Formats: sequence, structure tokens, C-alpha cells
Amino acid sequence: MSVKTKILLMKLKDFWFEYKRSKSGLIGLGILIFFVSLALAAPLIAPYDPLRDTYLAGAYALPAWAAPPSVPRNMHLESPSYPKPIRIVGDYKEWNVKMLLDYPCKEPPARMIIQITLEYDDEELKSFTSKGYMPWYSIVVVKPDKKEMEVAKAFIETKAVRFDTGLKTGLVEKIFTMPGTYKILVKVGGYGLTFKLVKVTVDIKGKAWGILGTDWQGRDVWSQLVWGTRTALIIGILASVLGVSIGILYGLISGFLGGKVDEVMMRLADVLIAIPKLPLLIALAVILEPNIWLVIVLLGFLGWMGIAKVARSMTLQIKTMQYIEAAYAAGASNARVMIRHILPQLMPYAYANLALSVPDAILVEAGLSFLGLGDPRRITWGKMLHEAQATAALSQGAWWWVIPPGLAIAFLSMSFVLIGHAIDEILNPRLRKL
Amino acid sequence: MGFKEYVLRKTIYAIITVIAIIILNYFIFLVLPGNPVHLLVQMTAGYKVNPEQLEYLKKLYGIDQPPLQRFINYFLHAIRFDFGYDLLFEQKPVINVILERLPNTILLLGTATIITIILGISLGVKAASRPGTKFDSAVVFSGLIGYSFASWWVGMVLLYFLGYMLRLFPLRGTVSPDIPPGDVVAYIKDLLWHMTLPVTSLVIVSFGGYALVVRNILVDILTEDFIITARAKGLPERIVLFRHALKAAAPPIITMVALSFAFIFTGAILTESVFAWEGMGTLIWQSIQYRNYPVLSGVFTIVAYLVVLAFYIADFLYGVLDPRIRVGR
Amino acid sequence: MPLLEVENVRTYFYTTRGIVKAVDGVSFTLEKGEVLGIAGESGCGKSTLAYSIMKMVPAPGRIVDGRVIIEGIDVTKLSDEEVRKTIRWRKIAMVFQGAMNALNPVYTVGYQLAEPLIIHQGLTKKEAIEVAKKYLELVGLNPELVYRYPHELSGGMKQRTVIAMALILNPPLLIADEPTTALDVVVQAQILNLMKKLQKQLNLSIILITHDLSVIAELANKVMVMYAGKVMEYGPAEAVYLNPQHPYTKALLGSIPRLHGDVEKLTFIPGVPPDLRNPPPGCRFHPRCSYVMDVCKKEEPPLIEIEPNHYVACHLFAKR
Repeated sequence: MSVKTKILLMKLKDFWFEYKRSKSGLIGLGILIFFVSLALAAPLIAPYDPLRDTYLAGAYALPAWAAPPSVPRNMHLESPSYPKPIRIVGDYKEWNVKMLLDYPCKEPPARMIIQITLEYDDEELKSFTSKGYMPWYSIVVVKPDKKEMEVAKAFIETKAVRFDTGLKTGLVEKIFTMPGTYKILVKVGGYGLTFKLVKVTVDIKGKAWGILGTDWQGRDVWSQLVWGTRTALIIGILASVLGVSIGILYGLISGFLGGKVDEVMMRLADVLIAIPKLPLLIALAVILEPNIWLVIVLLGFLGWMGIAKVARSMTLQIKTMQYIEAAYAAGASNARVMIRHILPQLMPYAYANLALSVPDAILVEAGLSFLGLGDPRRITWGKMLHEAQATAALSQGAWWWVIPPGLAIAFLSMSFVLIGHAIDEILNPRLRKL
Repeated sequence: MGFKEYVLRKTIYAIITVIAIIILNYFIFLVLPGNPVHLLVQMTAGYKVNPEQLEYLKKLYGIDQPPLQRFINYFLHAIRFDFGYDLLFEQKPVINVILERLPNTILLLGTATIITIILGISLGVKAASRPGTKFDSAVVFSGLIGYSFASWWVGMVLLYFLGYMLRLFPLRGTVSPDIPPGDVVAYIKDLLWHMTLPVTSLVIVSFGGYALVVRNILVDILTEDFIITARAKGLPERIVLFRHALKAAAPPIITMVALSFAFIFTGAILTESVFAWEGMGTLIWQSIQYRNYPVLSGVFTIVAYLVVLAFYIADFLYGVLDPRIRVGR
Repeated sequence: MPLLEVENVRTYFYTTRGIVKAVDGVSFTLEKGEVLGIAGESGCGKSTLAYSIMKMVPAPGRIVDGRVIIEGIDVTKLSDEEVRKTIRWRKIAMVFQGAMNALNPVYTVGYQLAEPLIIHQGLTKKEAIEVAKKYLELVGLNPELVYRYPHELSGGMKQRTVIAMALILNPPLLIADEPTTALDVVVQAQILNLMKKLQKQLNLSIILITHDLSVIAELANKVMVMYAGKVMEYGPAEAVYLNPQHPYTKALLGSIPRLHGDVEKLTFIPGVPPDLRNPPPGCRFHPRCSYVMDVCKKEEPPLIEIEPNHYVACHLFAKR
């Protein structure tokens, strides 16, 4: 290990010792580690696609832990595969599948979806249907009070027949009127040697589900939150790194060159500060196709001015120091002086600024997504809030969809603020406490 | 450099910034993707526009003229606050549309900002006068925390709990539709009732940050030699704090105050959306939905103008308050 | 009765990294019209001692032991409010290190001079300004400067202003902490002459704190040499300068470059001042002393009077 590495490690050890003293800094770090773990473990802990896996349960389903037992949960019934037909007449076969559903709740579920899977040869079926012999199915539900209700009767047109109560308003409430044992009778009839009933499944979509319930399309809110963490971290950190890098270089060069160039560069920075970030982003998002890389680049290009000013004023101060003169006298070039002598002294301010500008990026992006202008292909917390707002989630009482994303934004931002503050206190001698 | 030169310099910068904004705006809205004519067609695609109207619009936006001419036209119009006509209400000049909404936004955000400033400065001064105490730590902490919360989300939560669940506050709008016209007192009461939640959400999130900055500025100043001298002179602590420290802190604090008015509009868009408040924010939102480019362009420019104005006032006040600039040498 | 009696003052700073014993048992007296020079390296506790006399030690510091008696009043026993009203600026005034920054940039010079008069003596603004003008004249400045702001004055002018400001309530004791350090040599000489003149004119008692021994030589009657919070040598100026006894004093004097006389090698003192949280046992100077003996590492040397009024804290003299 070279001397330089040893010194670096020692500096880091010292820094960490100081950092440990800051209670709030440790809390911030802890929160950040939590979120990063969440983001990294996403495929494991949130196996559902946040945007595409719809109707995992009913829409606006409560989180499972927040719902009393009287709220119906998901249920799933499956018939044995390839049941035997009850009647065969020549080429015609008929099946009668009976399934028992113990439904415990007074409240009806959000949906009932019955899938009938079949196997047949397309050509063979065509030959029968052209003669007028169409396969058919019917579904009858026998309620606990023995009343029978035929809910569906139709011809079969695909290999995967799907009956969904969601397609007809009020149907599921008519079916499930009381707790008890329901009998679901599925009758299928079809022609042809190859025509077979594979399986019947009954899915009851409940009103309580998962860690954070579902949104207006029955998608898993917890998955949205977890996958959204990735996006938030990527955007926040990259935008911040970009901004600080630009800022430090800009300030360094401006201060170093001094004179008229410095004046012009600083004026340019002042003009750019006056441009309001969100309206500009909105304007651009409207015109161009929104995607996160564009947002990251724009945020970077809009957020460098603060650190640039600090870097510049520090550079101006350092420039006058005698050791700079000494460096030149020893034959150093401009670039060398800038990189080896001045730049390292700017880094402490850069680190704190790095941490502190992440929350701004996260919040601006969340605002942009909230207005519906975010990247449509990705899930972000702002987008969750946008959909919640647009579908009036709060008037449905869906607090689990509105509060977690906002809290996540707040806590992730908070963690960076606390970390940045702790770093600032250590590296910025003026803030040191005795 | 004397005061006159300082003011002159700041004025020139303001003018340059305004010009830069107009140029930037122009490029964003009229030059980016696509042929301007295509854009125009896009703009009007949703509406039944007959050829005459198309010709009229083309002339209006000067699309039938060479680029430089177009730009000069735009520029001259923009300086005079003429941004063309609203695409939805064709006879209505954009500037009028904006002026209808602007007062609402200023009312909401101006009130929130003023309350934040008053709260923030008083708490910041109090914290700086007792550094290291629990009160001080609480102020610092609340400043750091508030910075992390999105005020518009806090608004959503407040709206849910206090508006929807407890029915204490209205769920949307600037005023209720059923106020008898001419009843000023009822109108004002109703307005205030509608304003309470949005203003609260804005203030909760911002006052901490404000207090923190004020506190830091003061704590910094309190380490200066002239403060130690003031104490050595046997001056009561009250005078040291208010007459010496605060007065020396006035230039950066006033600058900060002026700047917070500048950034009012960024906050507007989101909070107004949540509360369906009829201001510039919802105007932007609607213009986006309907692709109402002239209005968007106008709003953006006006907002940028106001920001420049706020900066200018901030610079000016700073110069007035700091004798090193005011008297100069 | 002497004007000022400082008895065994200890001032410690209770920081999160340990207790810094900045002043650890310092005693001296000052008569009316006397000038005491306190010399020592940076960090030896001289400024803290000055703050202790005015009861202005900043947190986390406190005076933990000893007494400070000015004109018969024990400052350490007074409440903060009493100190503020009766002692500060009225009995003891201070000219701080770096006078440039002792003036508030947002107020005129006149206002800052007048302030103590208005607060402590109840003068009106107009009256106070008139008095301020007279004091500006006293320090050799144009009285019209009352209307100017500090940034309009040069460094030397600011220094004079600060001196005028300190004298405005006619305090019997003036503490000057490094009054000339930030000035160039020419202005330094002017300020020193001014202080000499004022001292004679007003029969001022002055405590002059500096690391520059040549400055003390110009003004002081008595000299106290401090190191690491303790007194090393204390006595009449002539005695200490011409007959220094403590190894530290000798080294300090030997490190002053002289224009005249034989060119001798400049001495320098190896090592660095100690960490005051954990000062060396015994004599605090022993790690850097060329005369160190075994006893120096274990026992603290007491102050011994080797000549009338000339005291040294060194085991070299404690053998009897």
C-alpha cells in the first residue's frame, strides 16, 4: 500500500470518527442505507410489476394489516386438471365442475374472476362450428341459502375463457349477499376429439391486500414504492453529481482566470439562477418527450450555480496564497496548479453540496411527475401521487396510496439533508461546535 | 465604486437577463421540434379551424415571415407584454388571461411567504440568541426536516384529514360559488377559509428553513469582533443582538426575503394543483393539457420577469442597507 | 491599594474533547499609572486572561478559581448584570486584536464612539457626538470623522478610533490585546507613540498583551511572561529584559533580531506549545527546555522571588 493510500485511509478513518459524533448524521445514514437496500432488493421483495400487474386484488384495496377480518381477502380455487366429462355423446362431451367456496365475509368481494382453460385443435373446432355446433359454457352460483343464480351462459370463442364480474357494475354484489359456502357450478360442452377441459380456476379479488394495498387499477402499491426508490435514487444522485461537477469546474475556472472572463462567467451564472426551475422543466417536458435522462441532465444544468459561486470565491482567495506562487516558481503549469493545489481544497464544500442538492432534485422531479410530466415508462413516487390525485384517491379514502410515497420522498430527502449537514459541520470549520 | 455605479450595474444586468429570457423563451416555444407551421397545425389540431382562421393565426404569429423578422416581432411584442391570443378563447389576449389569475396566486403565496418570513425571522433570532440550547437544536432540526417535505404533498394530507375526513375545510377552489355578490365580508371570510389549508401547507414546510438560515447568519455575525467589542462596552445583550447583530445581518436577510418572493411561482404550480386554486399554477396546468402554447409562453415569460424583478429589488435593497456599498469608496 | 489585583485566577474551557486549562493560576498586581506587559506565544493564555479580567470568557469557558479585584471591587463575585453596568468600559476597557473588525460596518464611527456615553451616562445623542469628536482629536484624528463609516478609514485610523472608543468613559484601566500586530511597522510606531502619550496624559494603567517583546519594551513598567497558562517570569521591565532568569524568557529575548550590536545566532525554541487539555506534568516548559532536570518533569516549580519584585518559576532557582 502506497503512502498516499495510507494517508487517504487515515483521513477517512478520522472523518468517520468525527461523523459518528453526529447523531443526526448517523440517523440520515441509516435511513439512506434502508432505502438503498430497498432499491437493491426490489426484485426479491416486490415481485410484482408496478405498472403492468393489474388487479392483483380489488381496486383501492386496503393494506392487509390495516383491514379488520371482516374485509374480504383474495381467495383462489382450482379444479383438478383434466376432469372427466360427465357425459359423452359421440363427439360431444360435457363437463360439470363443482367448486366449493367458503366465503366468510358479510361484505362482497371486489371481483370474481373465473377462468376456464381448454384445449382443442383449431381446425377441428372450425369444422364443427361451421356446422353450427358451437362449444358453450355456463356458470351457476348456488348461494348459501340454496338460491341459485345463473351468472353466465355463452358460447366459447377462445381457449382461455374469462368471466369477470368487473365488467358489469353491481354484479358481484348481487352474487355475494351473505357469508357461507357457495357452490360454483361450471358447465362446459364442446365437440371434437381434441376438445378438452383443462382446468377451471376461481379467483376472488378481495378488498385487502399486501403491505400497502392497491391503487385504482389493483396494482401493488408496495411494489410501486420499492421500484420507485430506484428511480428516486438514480435521479437524485446523478443530477446532484452532474450539477456539483459542473459547478466546481465552472467556479474553479472562473476564479482562476479572473478579470473580465470571471465577470462574464459570473453574470451568466446570475442570469441562469433567475430562471425558475420547475416552469422551465414543465415547458420542456411539454414539448419534448419526457424521460428520466433528460430530467437528470436538465436538473444538473440548472443546479450548479450555488456551488460554482462558492468554488469561485474560494479559488480567488487561494489564488493569492504564497504557495501558489511557489508552485509556479517550481515550474508548475496552470493546469497543474488548478488540479493539484486548488481543487483539493474545494472538495470539502463539494461533498456537503453533493448531499444537500439531492433532495432538491428529488423534489423537483417528484413535482414534475406529479403534474403528469414524468417518464411514462418508469414508476416514480411523484407519479404515484399524480395518479392518486387524478383518480381522486383521497375521496375514496385510499390513504395508503397517498401517504407512503410522500413520506418516502420526505425521508429519503431528509436522509440526504442530515448527511449533508453532518458533512458540512465536519468539513466547514466555521460551523464547528466546541 | 459608488452607489450610483452599483445601481447602474444591477440595472444593466436585469435588462440583459430579461433579454436573455425572451430569447430563451422564443427558442423553446417556437423553434424546437418541427416546422413552425407544423407546430401551428398541431396547436390548432383539436379545434375546428377554417382556412381563414388558419391564415389569420399564421399572420398573427408571423409564420409567413422570414426567421429574423419573426424573432424581432416576437421580441417587440414580448417587451410590451403582448403574447398573442389564447387558443381557447380566441379573442382574449394572453396577457388578460394571465392577469385574471395572477392576483390569486400572489394572494395565496404572498400570504404564505409573509407568514413564513415573520415566523422564520423571529424563531431564527431567538435561536441565535441561545445557541446550543434545546430550542436552538429544535429550530435547526425543523429547518432541515421541513426542507425535505414536499409542501404540496403536505397539502394533500391536510386536505384529506381536515377537509375530507373532518370536513373542516373546503376541498377545492378559491371561493365558494354561492357567495352573494356584493357581500364583501362574506366573500373575504370565504376566501380566507379556502386559503387556510394551502397557506398552512406552504408555511409548515418553509418556516424551518428560513429560521435556520437566519439563525446561521446571526450566529456567524455574533462571532465577529465588533460584537465582542459591543459586549465589552457593557451594552445590554438586547442591544447587542438587535442593534448590532441584526442590523449587520440585515443585508443578507433582506436579500433572502426578496429572493423568496422570487421563487413564489415555482411553489405555486404544485400547491395550486392540489387545492384547485384558480391561480397561475392551475393556468399552467390547464394550458399544458390543452397545449395552449401562447398562454404557456406568456406565463413563463411573466414569471421569469417577476423573478428578475425580485432579484433586482433584492440587490437594490442590499446596496441601500450596506453602507460599504451605499457610501462607497 | 493597587488598582488591580489578580489572585490565582484559573480559567478552564469545558469542551467536548476535554477540559482546556487556558489560564491555570495567574497572579499579579497593577498600580495606578503602571503599564504591565504580558508576553508569550500564541495560545499561552494571555488573551483568555484579559477576558477573565473583564469577566467575558466565552462559552464553554469559565473562571473556576481566583479573584479579580479592581478598585477594591471583586469582579468575580458580581453578577453578569452588575459587571455589565459597573465594570465594563467604565473601569476596564479593551482594545481587541485586529481592531479593523472591532467596528461595526453598518454604523458610523461617531455613533459607535457615542454609544457607551448614551447607554452608561445617559447623554443625548448630540452631546455624545460632541464628546466623541473631542476624543478623536485626543488620538490625533480629524473630529469630522464622526460622520464616516469604518470602511472609509485606513487601518491606522481605525486603530486610533478604537483606542479613542476605549477611552471614552475615562476608565482607569485599559487592556490592549495585540494592538499593533495587524499594522505595518510605520503605523505601529505611530500607535505606540500615541499610547505612550495617552498614558502620560491620562495617567492610564495599561495591560499590554503581545507576543512581540519589542513592543513591550517601549511601554511597560512591569513584564509578565506566560507559557501554557502559567506565569514563568514576572518583574520590573528592566530587570526582566536586562537580567532574564527563566530559560523561556532568555530564549524569547534571544530570538529577537537586532539591527545593531553584534550579529549573534538567533535562538529558536524547539518543539511546540503543549496541548492544554493534557499539559506536561511538572513544569510545563520542560519538554522544550535546554536546562531540564529530573525534578522539572515531576514537580511544578513555585514562583520564587530572586530579586526584589522579580519572580521566576523555575527549579533552577528553587534549590534552596
